[in-house]
Amino acid sequence: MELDLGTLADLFARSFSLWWVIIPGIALGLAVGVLPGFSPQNTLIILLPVTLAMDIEAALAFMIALYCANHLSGGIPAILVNIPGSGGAAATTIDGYQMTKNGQAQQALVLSFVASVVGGLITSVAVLAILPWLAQLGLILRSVEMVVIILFGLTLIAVLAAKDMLKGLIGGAFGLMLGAIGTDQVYSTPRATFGFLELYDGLPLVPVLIGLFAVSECLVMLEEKFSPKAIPSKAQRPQWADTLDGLRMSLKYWWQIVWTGFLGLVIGVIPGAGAYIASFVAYQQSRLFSKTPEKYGTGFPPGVIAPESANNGVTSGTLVPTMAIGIPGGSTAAVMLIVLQYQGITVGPRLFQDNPNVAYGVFVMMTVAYILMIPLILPLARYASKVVTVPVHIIVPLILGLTVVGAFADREYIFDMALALVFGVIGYIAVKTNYHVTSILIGVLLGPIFERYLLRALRIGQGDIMVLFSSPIANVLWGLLVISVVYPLWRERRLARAAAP
Amino acid sequence: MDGPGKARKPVGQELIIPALAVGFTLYYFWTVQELAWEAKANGVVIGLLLFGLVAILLVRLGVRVARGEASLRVTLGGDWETDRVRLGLIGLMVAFLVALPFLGTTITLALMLFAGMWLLGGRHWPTLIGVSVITPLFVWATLIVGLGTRFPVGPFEQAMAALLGLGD
Repeated sequence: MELDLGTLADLFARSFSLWWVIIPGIALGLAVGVLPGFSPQNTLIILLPVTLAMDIEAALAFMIALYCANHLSGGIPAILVNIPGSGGAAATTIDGYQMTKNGQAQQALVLSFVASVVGGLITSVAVLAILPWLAQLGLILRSVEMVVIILFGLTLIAVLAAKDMLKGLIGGAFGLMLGAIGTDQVYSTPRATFGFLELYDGLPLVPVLIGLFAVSECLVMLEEKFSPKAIPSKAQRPQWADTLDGLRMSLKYWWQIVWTGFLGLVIGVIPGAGAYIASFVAYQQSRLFSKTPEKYGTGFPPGVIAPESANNGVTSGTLVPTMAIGIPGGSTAAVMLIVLQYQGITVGPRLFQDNPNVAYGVFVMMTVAYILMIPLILPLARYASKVVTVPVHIIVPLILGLTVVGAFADREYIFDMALALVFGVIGYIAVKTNYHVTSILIGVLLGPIFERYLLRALRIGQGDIMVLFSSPIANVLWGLLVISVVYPLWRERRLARAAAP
Repeated sequence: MDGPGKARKPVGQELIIPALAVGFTLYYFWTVQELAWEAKANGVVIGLLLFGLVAILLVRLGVRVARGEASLRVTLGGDWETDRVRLGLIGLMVAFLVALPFLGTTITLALMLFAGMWLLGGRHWPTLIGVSVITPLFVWATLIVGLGTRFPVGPFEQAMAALLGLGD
């Protein structure tokens, strides 16, 4: 599994020569990622006949470019119109949209792009160096440890609820209850499905995401008159100076990009752990270690950087168990696995002996895709930020029409479009009564995964709850979790005491 | 503290989400009562926690109402004109979903966009027609023809498929 410099240089040269498939892959990934409901795996499945017809290297380069660009572009609507393009970009709305409201849409987009590209780039390079060791992580971290990792994400509910803890926790608990809809993990008996077969697989995430964010935001926009008059004049005249300002901010917070990217990588390596777990955990941890946690939620640059960098760190992490042990780290990786198997390539430990060019080539292609993305996306920030200047009477019907259409695309049920509308009304009421919609979403997203791992752990421990404290790694994680919950409370109390006369 | 003449702040709207949450949780409990513990343990624990949180909220609001600081009147803060447009928009989306299986994605989306912009006060005809024609055509060309997503088809999609020789 050793990789010498000569082979590496050769892999880079071959990957750069595949620019003709990487650039269309990036363009398609960017376009598809902006629309909620159009996931990279669905796009890759639709394009399967095309990729199967290509030679293996070109097919992999195309799929990887599309996948990485898709993870990047989910942050664009999250920042501009408070509508995450994917679950992984949901945490970006918290500070990203606030920056747009503060007249810093272009800077927020640049922050998101730089964090995504650099986060993805450094983690894919790191994977090349430490792949053999990293691959073991997917085997070491099991359901017991996953329970604690997901709890890290769930603690963000309490963080978001800082202004009104009670309402935030009610919103989060409501989300967790909604996440329990569908058949149970052990016996597959339906729970709270209202008799709809469409809910047997659980609450579909895309319509919930679209409803809570897009539809509710449209209903709020009518009231707030978020028209050009309401937007600071600076946002109406996008300038290169704002792009440079965003780059300056990115440089200032370079360390945030690095460590949250690696956090995303580690979470991505764990099979089944998705980008949304990584982005929520990264946001929560970034706020925890910040000297100014009170600035989060007000349009603070690290609040955009952390989830976006982690979201893209996941892209390389997801492919580690796929290539090294043959277990797809996510649904997109599973589609890539199909293409590899069709081409007669067996993934797993032997891949590094039998086909090192493919095994390491995947991560080199990812690095090259991120490098080629830089000149393509930075100018995009200037022009994409113009979206906020579109008048309300045009943007609201457009968002409603396109996102509700997006709600259909994922599972192809009209039921999902209706569900998006229902959640839109719930989201609107939540916004107007100060129940944080992100708290509800975190519950819906992480609830089913938490239940799955918790039940798995309990079954391993034959129902004994102490199984959750049976592994040294889990115990260390429990310790860190307690610290991450207690420390902010202790710090706030200390600050309040210091501020008191 | 509020003076005797000061209007009481309406807080009834703060109970809408808790009411939905409690209602849903009760329904959940009803559906899982016969199931094995593994199938309901997670939901029951969270549900009980939710009941506890809502009870605390009720006490908090009850104290404010008892002190005369708040009333249980419900308002979402919008003026009647905006609420009327908002309800119209929700009605329009419901009509969009009802018409979709009959008219197909392209025509329904075009009608929805035109009506939506009109409802929100758009009166510039070139913009109204341009947006409501170009957007559905873009959706049809990219998502239905290009990506092959199986959106509901209607007269337009069928006519174009026949004209251009596109498969189903």
